[in-house]
Amino acid sequence: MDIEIGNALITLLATTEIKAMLDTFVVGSNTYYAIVQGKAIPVQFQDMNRILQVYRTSMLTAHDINAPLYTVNCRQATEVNADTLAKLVYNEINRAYNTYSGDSVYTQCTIGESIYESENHWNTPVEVRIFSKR
Amino acid sequence: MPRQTDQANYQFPDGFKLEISTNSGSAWTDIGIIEDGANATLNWDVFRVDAGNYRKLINYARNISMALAPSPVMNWDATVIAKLFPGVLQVDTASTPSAGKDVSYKGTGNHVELDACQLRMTHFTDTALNTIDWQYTLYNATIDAGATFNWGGTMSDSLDSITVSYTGEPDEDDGGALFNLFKATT
Repeated sequence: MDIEIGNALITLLATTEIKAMLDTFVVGSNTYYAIVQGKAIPVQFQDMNRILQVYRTSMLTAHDINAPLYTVNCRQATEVNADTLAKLVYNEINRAYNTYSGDSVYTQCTIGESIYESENHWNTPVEVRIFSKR
Repeated sequence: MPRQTDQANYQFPDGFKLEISTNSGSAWTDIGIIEDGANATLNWDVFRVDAGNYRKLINYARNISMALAPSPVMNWDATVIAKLFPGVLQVDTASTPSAGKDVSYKGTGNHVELDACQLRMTHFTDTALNTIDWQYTLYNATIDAGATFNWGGTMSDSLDSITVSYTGEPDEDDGGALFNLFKATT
């Protein structure tokens, strides 16, 4: 059981289309996209409103097979853009077979309703169930 | 404690493409979307033969059959519906109440010959539907009695559907072929 199977989502969702909808910040000569893993938004991202945030929302059990749920928060300045980003995530990994660290990973998605968080801050969460051998 | 075994060739539930052939596998008709998955049940009768001094009691299985019960079909294409009922239903061009097709009973009386068919379930792992990781084929099958047409009302949670099931028996003209399950090497 890999408690960090959510790393697979970070890898799978770092596509050109998705990154084009995200804010960036520069450290030295490196540009970083606002893709966050974890429930707390880091300080560097807190002034941004175009963020992709991934974290686990279900338990991992003693069963031989775990199919944990992750939430991918699609944060944008407008409701329409938040939905658009959620759709990109959905199209990328819904009912998709991929490989992560040599193991087959299968993901299913559900798009939730968009949430108004504050002015110019909308979030459309995508719930992702991850099936893997890990 | 560690996992007791690492033998885990999992098969993820992801649906499949369900097809039917009424010409021994030469051509296949895509049945279309079904509600969920399918169950296949292998059946036989056991009888024992006293072999006398030759050997001990011999256990035999006879009347071997395999029943395939897909979950309800949600594709109401008229041609497909007729294909689902080999020998029982037919499809014709219709002009009333409007342009379309008529699906009707094929027989002329209270009995009709059931046509043999094959059914195939295929699972693909790529969006281009080129890579197959498993495929199940049932040979020499006929449709079971009790097929239903299900029409929902406004309170229904699901789509209208057609429930069918089939039973295959060993094909004596094909070396006793009953079913085949293909699994790709992983």
